[in-house]
Amino acid sequence: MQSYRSVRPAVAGLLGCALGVATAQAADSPLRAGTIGYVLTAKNVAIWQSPDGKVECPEGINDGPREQFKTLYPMENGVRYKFVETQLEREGQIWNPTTEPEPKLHFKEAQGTTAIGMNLDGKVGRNDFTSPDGEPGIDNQMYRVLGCVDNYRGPDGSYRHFIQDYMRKFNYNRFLVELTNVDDLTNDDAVDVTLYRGKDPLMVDTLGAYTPGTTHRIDFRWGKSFIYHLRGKIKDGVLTTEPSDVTFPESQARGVPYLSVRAWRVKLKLTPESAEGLMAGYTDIERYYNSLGQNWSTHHRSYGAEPMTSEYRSMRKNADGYPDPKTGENTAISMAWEIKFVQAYILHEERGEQAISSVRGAGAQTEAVGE
Amino acid sequence: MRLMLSGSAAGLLATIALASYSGTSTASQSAATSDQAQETKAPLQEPQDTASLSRLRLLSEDQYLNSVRYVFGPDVAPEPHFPPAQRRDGLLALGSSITGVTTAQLELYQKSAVTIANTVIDPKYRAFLITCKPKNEKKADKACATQFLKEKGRLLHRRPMTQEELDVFVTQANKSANDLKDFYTGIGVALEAMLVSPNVLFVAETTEPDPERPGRQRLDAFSLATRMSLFLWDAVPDDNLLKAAESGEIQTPEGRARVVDMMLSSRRLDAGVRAFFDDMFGFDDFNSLSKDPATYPQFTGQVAQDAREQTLRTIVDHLVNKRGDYRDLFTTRETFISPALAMLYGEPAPAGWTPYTEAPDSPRAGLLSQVSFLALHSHPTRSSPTLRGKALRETLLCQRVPPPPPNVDFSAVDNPDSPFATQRERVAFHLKNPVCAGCHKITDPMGLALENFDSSGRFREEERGTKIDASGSLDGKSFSGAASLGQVLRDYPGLTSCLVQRVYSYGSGGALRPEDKKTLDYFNARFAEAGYRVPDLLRTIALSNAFSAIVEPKSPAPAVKTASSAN
Repeated sequence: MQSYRSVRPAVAGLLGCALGVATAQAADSPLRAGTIGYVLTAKNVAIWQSPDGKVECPEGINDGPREQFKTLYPMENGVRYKFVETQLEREGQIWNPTTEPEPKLHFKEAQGTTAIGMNLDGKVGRNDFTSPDGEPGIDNQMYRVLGCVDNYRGPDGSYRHFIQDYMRKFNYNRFLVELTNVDDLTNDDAVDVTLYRGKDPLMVDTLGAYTPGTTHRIDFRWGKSFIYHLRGKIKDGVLTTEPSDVTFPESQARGVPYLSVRAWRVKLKLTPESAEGLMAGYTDIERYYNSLGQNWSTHHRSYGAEPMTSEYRSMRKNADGYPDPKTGENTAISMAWEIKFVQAYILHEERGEQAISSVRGAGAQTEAVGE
Repeated sequence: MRLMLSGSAAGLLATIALASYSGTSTASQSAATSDQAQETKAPLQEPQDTASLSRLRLLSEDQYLNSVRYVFGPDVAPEPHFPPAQRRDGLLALGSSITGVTTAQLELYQKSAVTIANTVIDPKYRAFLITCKPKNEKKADKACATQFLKEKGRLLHRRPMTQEELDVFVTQANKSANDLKDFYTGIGVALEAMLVSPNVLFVAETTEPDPERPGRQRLDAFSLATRMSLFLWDAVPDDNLLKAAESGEIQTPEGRARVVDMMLSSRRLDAGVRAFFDDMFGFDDFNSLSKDPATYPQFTGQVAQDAREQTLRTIVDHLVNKRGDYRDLFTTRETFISPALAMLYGEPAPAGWTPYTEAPDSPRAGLLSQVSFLALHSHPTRSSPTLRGKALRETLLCQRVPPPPPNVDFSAVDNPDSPFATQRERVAFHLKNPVCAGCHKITDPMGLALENFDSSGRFREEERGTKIDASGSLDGKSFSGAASLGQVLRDYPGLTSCLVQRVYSYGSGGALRPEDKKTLDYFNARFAEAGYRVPDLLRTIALSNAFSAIVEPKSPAPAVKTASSAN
């Protein structure tokens, strides 16, 4: 148990805190001067799975691009297709999705009443789920869309693999969360939560686990648009934040390295070494679908049997938020992710570079990011 | 490029076997026991009859690489992985004077030579590394080959080549160029042969009559330049140093002082100081250091690498940049930190290396509390007061701790289901056994003061739920914790004389002799007068008679056996 503080003042000044100030935490806690940081190490679309998958997917998992192509263009009886009638047509459908029925295809939505997620609207609606631990009113209609798509299912859905792999290999998706004005990591009814994009790699220990206590610099140069200040509270060691529209870094193969979520919030079990739980909100269907198409090519979707055009129809059908003012049709769909962080020290400036924060000079918020 | 080795070079090296000029190391024990009380009484004038032995040394890997980088530039970077020398009297450098080259080693030298030669003649580099152009690239050009091989040969041989030597390499270059119809390939073949020549790989010191002291011998100018350069820069002499040797300036008191001061003011001194302390502290053991990953998952390869670098950076900064007192290395709170080390420290650190100051109340102070010392002298699964105490005595105080008796029963202390909560309890068990107690009383008391740091160097207040007692003692002085141990060590009489002993034997290239006692007394006195500033000690030694005057060994030097002489 370390009972000392030993950072050179110049380094300490770069942190969003002044080290050495006693807190309610243990003396060696990385919660220092009311500040603690975390770096994201895992993120998966929240998919509740029954032991054999029969509860949520009684018909099995969905067909993917290959299987749907075979159904749409059967090669029986010597039929010969033209390129424009098959591949090009299918590609065009992917980039121009509609809600028209797909009579030859059958998309299997997740069934049942259980889903992982958060109650986003504070209500218990007719289509809402109940969480595995019994909380009613769970808003996660995206689960109906993706719950029976192999790409997202654990433990080895293809996207789950790719997203974790890219998180380890690359830095553009580094997602930092910093908590400030924390009096107590167990109970505090008002804390400040700031989101950043970092630019340093995750570090693993000799067993391959992500190591708490690493240092991450904020990407102030290209990551200003990822900086958000939120209000939160900690109750019984669980952090929750007030809803806010945010855009966070996203792991992907190519295309759109971020994801925008409306009324985004987290529910995280905090320890001095880690944070684990959920984030949830409403995703704009058109943007989400477009990013999905840009980020993951057909071969990625084929690995995990992901039928995009069918998913689009399901998203539109199950949309439950942000109605279009003109048509009244919902434009967004509730969604949740399971997320894991390890504790990290977040540096607000690096040697020789002037920190350029979007919140510089923004009054009280300036202090929150240690500028 | 085809592998074409000079027949003479290959033949010479294939069976070369060397023995030391310097005799055995047992003599150093008596020199090491120099009476510290005499330090301040010793004369500040060097005794007249001091001298060292001439040596035959094999260039170390670092010396080889530093030299190649100087001669050909940083892009010429082979990865030779030469076998390490045998550690003698606390230094690898002394082992290099009793080494030989096997055929397997020769293959490694040849691989490096091929890499270097291929890079030099590569079209990307040849324009500026080979400063002349052949009249016809398809055939030999004697004038250009001579110019290139003479210029590089002078640097690689650390002296101008004789005409006969040069002719051999030029002839080889011309023959290969004509046979292979490529001037540059011919240059490559000759360069490769030169790089595996014994005259390049081995430093054979030669002497001449000393005009100032009739009847005595001294190193000749080129041998002196090389001894100085290996000592202070861990590399072969540069052009300026060779010029000072060629002109004879280096053999005059004023000229030699100018040259030494020039070398001490060069940034290349950093490499020399790093090389010495890397050797003295046994940091080559980092190459094989490992911790049990389940017990110390945070002790990654990067942490080990950075721990070594942290200490070397601390040393260079303190001793060279700040001209600090050597003794203060063991109490200083100034160091550097990297992101990987910061994890072990439980502190933040930006990318790269950052100056770092331990807080006044931090339990870390001085080199003993750095991860390099703590981790290097521990077991893979637990800390070791014994290994740490032994290292402190042997590495820093030049004392010798006897090895455990061959019939010792380790079963009680190696039991994986150990009944001991702490290392203090574990080593206390040793003291119950008179066979063990004799040596453990020498090592354990100071090692126990470092018990607040586990085998990975991470701070801890408890071990298996029991609060750690970090009290200890060193030869009658009691203390508690690493910082206090560092303070006691700082003031320990044998600390500085051990450094002097190591630096002198490192610089002169061989083990100490009983006759060196007077020399060491002189160096100790000058070191104390200089406030224990290491650059001043280096200067004193490099300018001393002992460094350049040569005494004949009591027994004849063993013959250098080669294929040609054996046949």
